[in-house]
Amino acid sequence: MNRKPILLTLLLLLLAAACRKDTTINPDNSLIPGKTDTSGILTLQQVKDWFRKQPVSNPGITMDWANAESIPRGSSNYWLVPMPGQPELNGIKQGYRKTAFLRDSTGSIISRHLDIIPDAAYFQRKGKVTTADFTGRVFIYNNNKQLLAGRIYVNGKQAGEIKPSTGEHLHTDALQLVEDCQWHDSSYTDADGVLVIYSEKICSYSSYDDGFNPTEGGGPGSFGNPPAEDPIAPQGGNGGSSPEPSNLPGEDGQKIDPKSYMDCFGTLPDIGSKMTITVYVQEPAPGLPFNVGPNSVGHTAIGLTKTYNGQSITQVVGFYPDATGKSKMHAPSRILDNSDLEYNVSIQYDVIASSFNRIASFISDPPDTYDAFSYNCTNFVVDACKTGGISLPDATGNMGLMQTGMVPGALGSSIRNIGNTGNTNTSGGTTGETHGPCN
Amino acid sequence: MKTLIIILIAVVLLFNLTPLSYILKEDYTYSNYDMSFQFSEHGGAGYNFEMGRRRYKRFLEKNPEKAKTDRQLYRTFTIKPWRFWQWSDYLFSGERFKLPYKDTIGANK
Repeated sequence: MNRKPILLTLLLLLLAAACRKDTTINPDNSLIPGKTDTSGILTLQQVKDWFRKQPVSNPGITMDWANAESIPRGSSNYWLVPMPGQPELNGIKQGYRKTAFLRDSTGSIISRHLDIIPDAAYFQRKGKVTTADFTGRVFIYNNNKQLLAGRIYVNGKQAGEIKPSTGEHLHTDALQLVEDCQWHDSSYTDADGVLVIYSEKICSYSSYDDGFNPTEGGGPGSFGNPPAEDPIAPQGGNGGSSPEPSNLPGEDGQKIDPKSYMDCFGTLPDIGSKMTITVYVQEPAPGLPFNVGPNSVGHTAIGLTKTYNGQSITQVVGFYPDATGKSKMHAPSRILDNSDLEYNVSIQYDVIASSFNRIASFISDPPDTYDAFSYNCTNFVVDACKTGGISLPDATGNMGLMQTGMVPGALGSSIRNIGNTGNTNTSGGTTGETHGPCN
Repeated sequence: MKTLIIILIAVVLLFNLTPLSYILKEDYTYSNYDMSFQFSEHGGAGYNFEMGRRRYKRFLEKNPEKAKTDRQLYRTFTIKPWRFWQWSDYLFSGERFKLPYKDTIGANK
């Protein structure tokens, strides 16, 4: 048999899925502040000689002279020399570090350390930094590692400035364009691991952008791109500050405190409330009696809803191993918020308060251990329902590997066999947003 | 040679289309630009890419200020084409791999 087509196919598969790689960032010659110097060309040897004569303020730093670059500036030039280390902004290592050597107005050589931090989204989108559209921050230090100043760029234009924090939070009194510029304090960690507190001013000029809107502005002083309809579609980000992370429940898929979820039902009285238990099944192969398929092994979740006088609380949760890889087979358990779960079949039961509360109590204190064969997500839901006096349709099926046990595929098939009655849904759907925890 | 090819195909199918995939597959992870939204798939147990999309959409609805600045969802996992047990994901649900990559090294999670 000819091997070439097979090898070619494999090669194409590998190439099609090849990783993206970071592109080398090139220095931007517009980022150096200071006056244009006319004292003649500065040679690398002059820079090296000057550097050797300087008191060594940081013996650990070695200059990467081999990659030094001469950047034209008027009739003169300056040198950019890479330095080791990487700044950290918003907890993420990003950007790079260089030292600029230039002549001042008297002709003497001076150096400035630069922490250059491209905006992460801009860098992801563009792959490299260019002068024309640089978006990000540049921090400028003197030899004593004192922050002198900095600039904020958006699309290659200066959109703000940075200065050492004075500890004050408002600086607008000193500004001429009070209505368009805002100062605020921020921080980052420089390449030496030192936390740097700074103030930054970001401006938008109304003469360019009437009715300034951070996402819709079109003027040079404004930020951003129009929001896309599809949040998943690749698009450019923008500069500016990074907001503080929020901690909405269940966003990150981390385990939840099931008791704090179940406690919410206590905010509604039992008397006069309608209570329902819904079991949701994501089948491995929807509509087919297989126990593995496009949805892998599938999933079973349980939803509790309590409604009183039009006020309703719904919590949908599932039972998972708190592990990855092969450890998932037998691991400590965790409960996850199952809002937004796509299910194929469901079955619903109206229950009285005592049953509802027993189920909620079971979920609040779930079994400690998950086992893929003997105690998985389906076992958990079946047991939870059992504590409330609910007998679910048969969930036992072939698990593969010569094992029999409770599986989502079998439970889904059993619910389908009941058909579309009053309390079953074989059309599928998506669980809504759960209420989340209550403290 | 023919036997070898059949065996290789059988192995690939076995690792992609049986419960072995549940054990072996990576829990793909995602975040937005500033990592204020994070989502981790939980292979085969409902926590899939579609759930992540829905949650991110809701997140943007609840946080309009973030929707205005950067709506992009990033994958925070690297693509590992040599993992033949994940080839079915590349083949049948490849959208997640088209997201731009965001490195999380050094991030405070």
